[in-house]
Amino acid sequence: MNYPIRCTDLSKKFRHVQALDHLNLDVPEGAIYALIGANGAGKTTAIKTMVNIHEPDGGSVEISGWGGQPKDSRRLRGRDFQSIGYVSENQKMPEWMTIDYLLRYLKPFYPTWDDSAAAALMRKFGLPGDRKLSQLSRGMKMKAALASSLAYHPSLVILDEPFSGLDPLVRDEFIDGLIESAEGTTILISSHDMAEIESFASHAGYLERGRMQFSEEMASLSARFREVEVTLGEPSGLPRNWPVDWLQPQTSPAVVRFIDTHFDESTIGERVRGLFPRMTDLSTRAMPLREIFVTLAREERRAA
Amino acid sequence: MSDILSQAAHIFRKDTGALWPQISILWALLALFVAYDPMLASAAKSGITDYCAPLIMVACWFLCAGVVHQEALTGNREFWLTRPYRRDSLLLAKLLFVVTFICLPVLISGGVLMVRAGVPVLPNAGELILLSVARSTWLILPPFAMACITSGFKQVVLVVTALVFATTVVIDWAQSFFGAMRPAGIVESHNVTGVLAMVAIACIAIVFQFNRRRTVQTSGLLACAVIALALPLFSDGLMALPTRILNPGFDPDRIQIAFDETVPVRWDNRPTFRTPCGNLALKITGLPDGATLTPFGDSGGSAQVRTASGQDLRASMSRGSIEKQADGYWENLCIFDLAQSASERAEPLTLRWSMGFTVQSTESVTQFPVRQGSFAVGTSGHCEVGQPDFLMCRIAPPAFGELSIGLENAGYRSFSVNAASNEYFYPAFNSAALTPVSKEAFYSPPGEGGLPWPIEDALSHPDARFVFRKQRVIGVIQRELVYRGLRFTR
Repeated sequence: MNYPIRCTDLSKKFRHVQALDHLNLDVPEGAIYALIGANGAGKTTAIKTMVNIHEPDGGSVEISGWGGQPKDSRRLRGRDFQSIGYVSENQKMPEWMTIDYLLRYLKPFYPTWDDSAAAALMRKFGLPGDRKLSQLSRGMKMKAALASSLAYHPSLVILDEPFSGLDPLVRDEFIDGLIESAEGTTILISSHDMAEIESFASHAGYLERGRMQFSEEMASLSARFREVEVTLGEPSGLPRNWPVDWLQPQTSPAVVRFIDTHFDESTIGERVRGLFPRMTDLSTRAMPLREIFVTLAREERRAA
Repeated sequence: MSDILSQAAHIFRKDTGALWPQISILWALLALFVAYDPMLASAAKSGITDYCAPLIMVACWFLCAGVVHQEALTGNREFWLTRPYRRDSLLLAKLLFVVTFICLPVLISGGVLMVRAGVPVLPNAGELILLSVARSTWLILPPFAMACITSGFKQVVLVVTALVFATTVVIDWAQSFFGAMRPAGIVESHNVTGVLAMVAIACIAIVFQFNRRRTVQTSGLLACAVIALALPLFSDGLMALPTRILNPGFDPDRIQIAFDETVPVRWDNRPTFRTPCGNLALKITGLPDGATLTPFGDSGGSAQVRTASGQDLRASMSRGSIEKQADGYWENLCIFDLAQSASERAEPLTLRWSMGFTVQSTESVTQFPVRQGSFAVGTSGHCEVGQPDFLMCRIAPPAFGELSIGLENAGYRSFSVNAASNEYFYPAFNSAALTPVSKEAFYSPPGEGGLPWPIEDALSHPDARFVFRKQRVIGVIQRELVYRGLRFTR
């Protein structure tokens, strides 16, 4: 398995704030990897370190977006970005340019620039070529940035919070355009928008205070998180030996709810009965990514 | 190589498209300045050029910072950092931009000004180019360097304001310790070492920042550049460096200066002072032929007057320039407000005076009778005597140095009349506009009391000549002069 992005013990500190704390992250080739985490978790710092905007204090990032030999991010130079696309929510664009001018300006930088792909993206996104970037809405700007980052068929696309502030319709168009134009491309995307991420991401990594809490395929992530509801024959409190992987337990007189972070259908009944011998009913519910994220974020705050 | 150049040209075209309003404003100001040449302009029009010159500087700074900030090296710079920009192409594109839109227009407008003034361009092209390069450096290097460590023009303004404030405070503080070491008007010449060091360090910082984007280290380098400019002001050793660099055969240590106590003090009465002025003879040896000395520095604070019995006297002093007379060098010294008793006055006093001198080379350009109506100053320009006491000259300036105009053979010793070099922020071309010889000017012929300078008499003298000299500072020296047997008796 190739990994176009590999972070090993990546650390970055801003004055007294440890933004990244020995972060380990592998993005498999062809994956759509969602990097999720609360505000200030270190997602943007991680991404900026990957593209050599920030220099890491410790550890390393190896990038091999062009399919060749991996290269330390610190040694990334202009030519290396011919096969990397990057879009950021706060990216300052040359606002005086029209979209057409922007694409014309960028074309000579990329040997693989594809005019027909650029035109297709313009049509797909409904971008007015003669409008200046300064006159565009936020959604349009993000689409223009994405179009300018996909028109040369990059092998690696990195998107930093691309959905923030976009309305649902624009968000859908953005995602459709991304998936259509970047088929087979490795994509790393950081976002708070769990519902959207869930619809197309193949992998997810959860970042908490600069550390990776988990990183796995979406399918296995969805499979291992379950909301569990236990109905008891008589009221009961929480037992002392409560498992650490059962989060946010809630009790009402005869019902106990919690979230199992390592759900296994074959053993859950036995584990619950071990704690609640008078259990009368057990039900489980699959959780959307958003709920998983909220659960983990709450747990993080509680622990903090 | 062709990749570098083609990408640089591509970025250059983009920058031109982005900054054409700023370019237009700068060029319009330059055109306005040339159209209303300050030396030709009437009083009403000269107001335009008065505003024009500083506006040109601001426009240059704005344009220069703007082109660097197109691809800002700090702050939000994702757009270009994550695109296939070559760093060398980027720097080359920016340099190409400032040369095309700032350096060349400054040079061309300087040439136009010279043509309009009737000064031949070709014979003075070398000095015009040198001066334009020197001026362009000041117009480009500071904003370019500042822009490298900032992300917008507001930040540049803030940094410059802070820098000016800090520099002012530091200089004030340093001068309170070291005294005023810097003679007015020849700062550029004196600080050649500092300027060269500053330019070199700033250039290194710029290249470093474009390649490495280490803003903190670059800021440190730029701070060193500013300090390099200031250091020669406060150190004798460093002050001698420009001399040694520019004039390797000239050793300032060979110049010996001392009061000649064997020559009696000559006393002049100056109407502006209540007390007489003493002219003290100096013994000067080791001064190269053609070189002159000009004292500078604190005229009172650094002098010390002590009686034979060891009592320090409160004294205020003033001094004139050192003149080479037929019988030696003379320092025109005024001591006034000397609060001493009659008995103390009878005692011989010891005068100690730490003085700085600039050593200047002087090259005589031309001379002409004062009554002549219009004349050429070599190939540097021409002058017209409009009225007996008014002379208007339009002269291409020496690239590094000053033009002085003196009156000689008018029955008096040589006297630098007044070379008003109108230095603008944008002076590809200087003029010496003379309105110096007024009846209010005072002049002390040797051995006589202070007299108003009778200009009519001077001009009517059959041998009176205006003499043009190019002067260049070749060094600065510091000496302590001691006069041990000074008596205030006439």
